[in-house]
Amino acid sequence: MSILDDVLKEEYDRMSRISENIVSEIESLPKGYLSEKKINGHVYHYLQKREDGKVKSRYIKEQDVESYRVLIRRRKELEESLKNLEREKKKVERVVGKDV
Amino acid sequence: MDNREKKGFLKLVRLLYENDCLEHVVLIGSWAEFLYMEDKRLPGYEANIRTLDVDFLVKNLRRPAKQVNLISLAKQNGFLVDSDRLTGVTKFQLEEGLEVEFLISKRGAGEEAALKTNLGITAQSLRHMEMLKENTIVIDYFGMKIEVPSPEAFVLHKMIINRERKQKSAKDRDAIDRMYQHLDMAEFGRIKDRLTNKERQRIDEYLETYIMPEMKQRVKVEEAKNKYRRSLS
Repeated sequence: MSILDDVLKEEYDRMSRISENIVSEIESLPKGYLSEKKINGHVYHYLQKREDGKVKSRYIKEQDVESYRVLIRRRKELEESLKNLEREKKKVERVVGKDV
Repeated sequence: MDNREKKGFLKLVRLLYENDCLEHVVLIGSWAEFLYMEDKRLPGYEANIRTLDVDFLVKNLRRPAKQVNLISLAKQNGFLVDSDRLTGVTKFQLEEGLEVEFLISKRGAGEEAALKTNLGITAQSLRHMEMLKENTIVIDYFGMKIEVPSPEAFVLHKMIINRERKQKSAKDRDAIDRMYQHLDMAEFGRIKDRLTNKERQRIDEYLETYIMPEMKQRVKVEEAKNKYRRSLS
């Protein structure tokens, strides 16, 4: 392996470790999206997600809505970071070879 | 050790150590981060990508008292020696791919781009380097004691110079971000208090622009997580 291969391999391993941590963090966050329904003039919030091909809804109490909003946004940010990391890893694989 | 660049690094450190030069320099840059990890000084900390540049900060222009010819010693050990045609700044190159640079603190209104040192090398003079040699820790590496800036001084320095760093600015912010949560904040404050007004101002600007929003966001997410867990139980 050349020096550059060594550096790239270390960076690849580092990115892999970070990816694992991100995946672990994502799994601790709620999946889905928030939706609203107006019933008799009141607004009710639901967490909706797709499970086994069906959309499942769960009512969210008013005092918890903001927390869910924060965590769903956080999940999306992490999913984007994960995508970027995987793209970078693929670049390294292209340079060093798939058995990096 | 199965990594060529680490072998090169060890060879370099050994050269300095065996010729009583190691005590006159401070290792800075990404290889200092490497040593923080090797020393397990910051549990959970992941160092930034390491470059092939190894940077040493010369502590004192006139030390050792008896001059050393490090250039000659380096050549004897198979290092290639390069000298910048304009500034005379010395660089070593190792066959393992490492490039070694020497830096020194620019004092006062000094205009010199480079200074000849008693180590026999010409070092590049840069501002804001004092804090890196005034706040150091010693890490044992294969029985050799290497002086590196304390993690707090390392981060403070990066904050001060961040706006000047151009392409490396994002990489430095990434390093700061990953190290910041592991710092001793009392030590961080103590070092910061002893800096110049201009340096403290730059640090405050950095904290306001990058760290505070990130910290507020983290607190918000943690609070939201706690609420979420309670809602599930």
